[in-house]
Amino acid sequence: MKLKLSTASFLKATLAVLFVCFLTPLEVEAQRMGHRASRQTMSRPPARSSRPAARPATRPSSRPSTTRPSTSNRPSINGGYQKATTRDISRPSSRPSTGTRPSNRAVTTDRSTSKVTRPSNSRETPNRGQNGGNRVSDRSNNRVNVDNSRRGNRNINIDNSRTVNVNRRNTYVRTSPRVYVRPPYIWGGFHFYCHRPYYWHPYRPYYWGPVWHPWGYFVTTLATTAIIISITNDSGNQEEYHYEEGNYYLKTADGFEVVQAPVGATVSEIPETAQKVEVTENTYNYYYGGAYYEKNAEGYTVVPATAGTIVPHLPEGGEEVKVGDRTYVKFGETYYQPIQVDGKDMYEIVEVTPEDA
Amino acid sequence: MKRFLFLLLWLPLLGFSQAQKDIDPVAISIIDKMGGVIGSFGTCAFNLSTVYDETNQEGLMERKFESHKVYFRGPDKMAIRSRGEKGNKGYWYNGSVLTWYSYDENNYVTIPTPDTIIETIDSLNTTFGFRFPAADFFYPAFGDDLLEEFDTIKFSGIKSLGDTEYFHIIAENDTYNFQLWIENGAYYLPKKYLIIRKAPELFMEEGTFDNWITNPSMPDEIFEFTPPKNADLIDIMPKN
Repeated sequence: MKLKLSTASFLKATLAVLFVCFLTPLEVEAQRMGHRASRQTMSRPPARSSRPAARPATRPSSRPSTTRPSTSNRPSINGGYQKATTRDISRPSSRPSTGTRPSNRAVTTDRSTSKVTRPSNSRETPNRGQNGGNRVSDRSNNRVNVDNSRRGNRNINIDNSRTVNVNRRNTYVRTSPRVYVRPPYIWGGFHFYCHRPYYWHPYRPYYWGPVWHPWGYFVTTLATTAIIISITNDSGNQEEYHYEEGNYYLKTADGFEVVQAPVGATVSEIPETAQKVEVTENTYNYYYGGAYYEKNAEGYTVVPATAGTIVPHLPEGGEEVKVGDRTYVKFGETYYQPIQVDGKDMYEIVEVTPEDA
Repeated sequence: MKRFLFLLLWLPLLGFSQAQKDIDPVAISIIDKMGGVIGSFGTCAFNLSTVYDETNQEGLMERKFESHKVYFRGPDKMAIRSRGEKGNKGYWYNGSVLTWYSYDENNYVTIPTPDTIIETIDSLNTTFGFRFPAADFFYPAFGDDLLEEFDTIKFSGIKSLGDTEYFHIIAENDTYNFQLWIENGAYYLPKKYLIIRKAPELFMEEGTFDNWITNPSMPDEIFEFTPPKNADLIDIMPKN
């Protein structure tokens, strides 16, 4: 009985596997058509078949294609035309692909060639930017405890030990509260949503005046007016940022380096040149130096970018990425779509979602 | 009894996937002849005009037009210049890297490649979604590829396009209808193709070849890309 049952299970499993094999495409689409037959011979140099002339009429299931050498002495543009020597054209084709596909050679990060980049599949993936690796959590559930006793020396301590920490820089994108009317641009297993149409214009980093510094800018000393903001990261380590006139610095061995604004940091003032940008109707962020701020009772808190927000400029540090037929500007996990509003070149923050989400 | 029922449920599906093919040997012999001629070229150049339908940013189906100038030098050199709705762009493949350059945006992407034209076309299509104009025709086993893909392949007679006669071939399966017009002359060169995708959504692409130049001399220089002033090397997102 046991034997009968296991035989039945085996039969079922075999049939299920067979079914899947017949229904699943063997190769992904190449150009407009599949080219399974070409792939079996593509990587081989043209060579005369060494098979005997007399051959059984029936085609073996995994018969290799023979090749016809090019009649020209020049190397052929495609290695010479190749075809199966015996084609039983009245039969259904059930030949499995046995050839080797061309290697998709690993692309190096050497800047002599382009960098291959993909959006993160998960919103919860730590960003890859400088000082990345901090976990993100919903800001709305966090309480920031500001130690007012230290206000005297203008140092603000965000005690995250009592909260789930929030340091994700502003490369994380919050979902747009507005419904998208336009269909998404689909590429690479992702949907790229925007409220406004794509309108390419060149990415020219913007400078917010002489007091603003781009990310990576290095100084040996800071003014005494700089305030210290401490944020505990996921590893439980405190990161100490130095804030001065819209710039955030991290201490290095030799001095201080400008970094992206840490999400969750609250400062009492931001530069006057910060621009008010609309997130939704009646909801605004303040935008300065690539960072987004929400105004609250304590001052201005750095928040993640919200999809759909339109900004007039982008700072240095972005990377232009060819995504299918479009070119976006990418900062960490934030994609900006070039758009045009009333004849002016601007950018809209793209909402990127996995296709299967 | 249960076991038999299981078998009966699955067998029709297995049978369906092995549907009988209807292949016209005349059509295949014409395609083989065309493939043999193309495979004999050490170098070739041609112009291609394409027309295709695509959903635009407003979600509407839009007809788009492009024109391409293509240069092949076997086994590992290719240059293409394309103009049309998707921009003014060029491809340069020198045997080790392929550069895609946008004349409109003055930026470019450079990607390491395999060693031959066809492997490069195939690899970049699979990985980055590059669609090279009329690349299907240059796959070395084009005839076998058609036999693999299509259930029906028919020679539909000799048709006139303008003053010239062409062999008209129609291939079809559940998803695609593919039509091809091959010159009724010494070289059997392709003149026109039409691809209609019937499902899951309707799609059409038509291409017309012109100005075939076979085995011309092509210096290395035309396959090398030199970045123009202020051109930006940008990143690229793979398709898969």
